[in-house]
Amino acid sequence: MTRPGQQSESDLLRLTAAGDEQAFRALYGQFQAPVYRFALHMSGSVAVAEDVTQEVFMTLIEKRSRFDASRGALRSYLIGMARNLLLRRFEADQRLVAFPDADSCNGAPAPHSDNHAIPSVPPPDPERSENIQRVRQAVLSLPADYRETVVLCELQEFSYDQAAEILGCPVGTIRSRLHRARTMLAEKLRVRAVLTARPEKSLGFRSAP
Amino acid sequence: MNCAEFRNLIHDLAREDTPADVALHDALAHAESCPACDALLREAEQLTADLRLLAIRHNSESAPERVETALLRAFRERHSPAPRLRKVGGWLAVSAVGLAAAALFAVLLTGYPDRTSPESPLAPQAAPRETNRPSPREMWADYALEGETAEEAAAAYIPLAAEFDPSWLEGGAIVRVVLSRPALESLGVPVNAGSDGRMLADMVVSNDGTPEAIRIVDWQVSDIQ
Repeated sequence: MTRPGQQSESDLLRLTAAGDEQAFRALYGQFQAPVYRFALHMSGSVAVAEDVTQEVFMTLIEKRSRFDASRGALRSYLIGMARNLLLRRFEADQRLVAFPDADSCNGAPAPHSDNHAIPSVPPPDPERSENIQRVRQAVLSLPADYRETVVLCELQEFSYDQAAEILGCPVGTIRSRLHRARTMLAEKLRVRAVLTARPEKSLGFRSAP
Repeated sequence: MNCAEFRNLIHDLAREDTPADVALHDALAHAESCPACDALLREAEQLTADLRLLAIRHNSESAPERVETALLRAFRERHSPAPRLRKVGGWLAVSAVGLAAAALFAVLLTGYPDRTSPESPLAPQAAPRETNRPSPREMWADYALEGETAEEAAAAYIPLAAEFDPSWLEGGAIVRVVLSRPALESLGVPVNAGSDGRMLADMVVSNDGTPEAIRIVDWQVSDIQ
């Protein structure tokens, strides 16, 4: 008999729909992390990432999924579903506020700014950690279509082909979006570096004589 | 290579992902000869390093256990019989009315059937229980009472699923249960206005444990029989 780990994605889905809990556990174990990380990087919020992950897998439980193995991998399908849920959330949720950035993006669906922000791991090197935090914030301030490209290709290390499958666009679009997104990130980080280097000037204070 | 061409490639260079047709040596030679482009390349390489570090920082992240717990709870609720029974309540009322209408229509068309006539649709069938699940229709024979035909059993049971398929009966079993009036009503089973106590019912349970159909055996029981 085939064990859940050895079954194809379609078999696991079919068994899940038929009420096989082991199959569902196998499916969840295999795919929850990339879905969760995508939602976390896109939203900047643990709470949103949890909700979205739960919603994606609820779709499988409720047999509402329309997965077609001939059109791509299940992982891409699930992340694509998470993406749709996030975009809908970004559009609908009035609580979303733009990241307080000096040059925040125009009209970008901004990520969450709540009490469930991505927890920071204790830094081995505070300066480096601060730098990573700046990069994370810069990524979160990108417009959604650029942000998702960075999240997939840079933070989740998907190939251009896989990212194109998830986002439903040509590989050339992924390439150009990533180029543009990286240019925007570099600009944001440059501005930040200048602001950080001269905080008193940016705040309008003068040092005492 | 000029500055504009170089800057079009800068992020591919920083990601070590230059297209095959790009002359890498030309690009690097340009960076060496142009301090501005060299600075941009260093900046892009730093960005790559920072993004990789950010990816590493998070690549062991996964959904907390409470998400899986909630999903498993939902999964079990979805696939356990209880919610299904709750959901079919409304449908059962409609189905009961439908069955009654169908029976009335049949009576009007054929008159009261003569059970002794071999042509009668309600005439006893030849040893239905001895056949080995011959057809979905005759699967009801396994759930008929003594002396009852498959058709009579099929008419007596009220299906509990919106799209009932007799093949679900295969491998199932009858469970005799005592139910209270509210429990029966919640299933959409019409309850005699005078029946305040508990009722005896036969419930057909399929091999995955799902109740598929129910019929009342006794409208008033004082204890489990």
